[in-house]
Amino acid sequence: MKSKTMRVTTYFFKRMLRQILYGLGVVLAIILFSWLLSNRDTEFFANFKIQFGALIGFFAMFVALTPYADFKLLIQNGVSRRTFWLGRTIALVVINLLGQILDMILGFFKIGTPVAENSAAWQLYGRFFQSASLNWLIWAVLVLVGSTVTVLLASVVGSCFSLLTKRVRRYVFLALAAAFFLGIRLIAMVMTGDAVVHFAIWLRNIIYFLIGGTPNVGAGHFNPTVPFISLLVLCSAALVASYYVTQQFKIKNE
Amino acid sequence: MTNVGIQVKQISKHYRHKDALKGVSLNFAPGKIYGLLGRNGAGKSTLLNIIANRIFPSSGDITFDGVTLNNNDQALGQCYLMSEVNLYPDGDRLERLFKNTELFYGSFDYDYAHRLARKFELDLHQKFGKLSTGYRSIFKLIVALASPARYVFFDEPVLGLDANHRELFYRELVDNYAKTNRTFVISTHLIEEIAAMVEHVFIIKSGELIVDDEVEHLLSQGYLITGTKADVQVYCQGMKVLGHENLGSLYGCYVLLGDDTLPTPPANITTERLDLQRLFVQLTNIDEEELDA
Repeated sequence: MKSKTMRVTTYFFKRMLRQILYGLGVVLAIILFSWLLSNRDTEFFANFKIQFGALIGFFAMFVALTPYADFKLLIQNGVSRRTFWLGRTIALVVINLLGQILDMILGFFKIGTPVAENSAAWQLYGRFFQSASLNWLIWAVLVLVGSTVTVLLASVVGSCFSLLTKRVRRYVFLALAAAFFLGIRLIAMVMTGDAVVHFAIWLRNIIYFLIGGTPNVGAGHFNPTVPFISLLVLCSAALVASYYVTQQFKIKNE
Repeated sequence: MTNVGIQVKQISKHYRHKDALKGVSLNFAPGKIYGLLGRNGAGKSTLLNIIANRIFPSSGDITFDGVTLNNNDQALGQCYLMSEVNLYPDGDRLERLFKNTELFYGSFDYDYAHRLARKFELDLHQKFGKLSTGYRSIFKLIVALASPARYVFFDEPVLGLDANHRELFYRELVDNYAKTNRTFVISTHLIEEIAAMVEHVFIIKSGELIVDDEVEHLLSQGYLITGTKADVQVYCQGMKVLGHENLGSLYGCYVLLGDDTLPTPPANITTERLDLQRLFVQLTNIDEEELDA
């Protein structure tokens, strides 16, 4: 890695970590405040389960949604769009993965939530192989790739919105909301009787295909191959899209 | 190709209702102080923003020592654009922003920056967002001067600065130039204040480059010819007349000689060299014919 890319990545890593820790601090403060409001209930923390990885992933997603402020600072400091994108993406992915791995380690030592058993991926694929360790490995890979895809998609969405001016952004939000409700209304109007049934079956088959299951296979025994490949494809597409959109960034007059 | 400097090649920029730049070509050589002049909306800031890779040109290319500047970290790391637009995060303290400059540019002269901050009475513990317009300019000027960039562009550098701070900035700029021999490009409306330090001048009018000349050479060509209207008109025949005005009972004519020398004037005619500001005003005045059109 070039030294400038390394410096930019380090900068993003530290800055994002600070932002995420700040977010975690706020969450912990709220929890503490709730505990105080509950008259320091001794059972409060016994029933309390927190997933740090999910929280870190959640905050990383928020950080990923707002790339323009970082872009402004870096272009002021002579950093190209390519290096900006690379450094930011690496930092985001690494922070997210570290959060997930931290969760797995804590789960392994039974600290906090036993992550695997409670996760959707485990519920679907946790018993596909005969070997427990292989199941665990597949689950871990799916969680890591899945959370990476989420963060990258957030980055794409944030980058797209960064291209728009404040006013256009407001219009787009309104248009999306209107399109969503109108779309649902339209589907409801068009589809009646058999059409609804056919659509529901088609949708169910698509979902089953994407998550690697069939109606007659019990949850936990779903095949992780298709979702794994889908996630990889989605990951690559998100990377390409975020790179392309970042290349269009420019300083706005606002 | 090394040490060619920054070459702007046929840069055009079209907005929806306006052509901000029309095929502008110019060079910034190493180790010079340039003035980039133009009236409001002439296209100066657009050009500087394109050079700093903040916005894209509609056509044309910019190279740094022969290599394209777009997405070129090495080249962009040699340029710093100080502009009116604030690109620093409001929540960051000034000391942290110094550190960021060092991180991204590879080095930063902290001692010099602190010395300048003391001279300008800038408290470095403040957050950028809390600074007044003048002190934001001062902070950015300090970063520009203390950064290692070989090409420093100033777009309205003294915005919001009082006369004392402006004077201080010009002194520091010349001092920095003498010590580092970097290239400085100053875009400002306060032409009188920078006229003495600028070596080469570019003048942009309505998106087109109309002057690309050494200041000394340009000033040797601009004259104000005064006398009675009839005498002046006879004397100025064949010369490029930039404008004219009535000066009481006298008539004045502003001329640009090209490479010719001024013919010896008759006794009833006086000639006077123009300074940069007056020459600029005459060169960039909108013609009455243009207005009528």
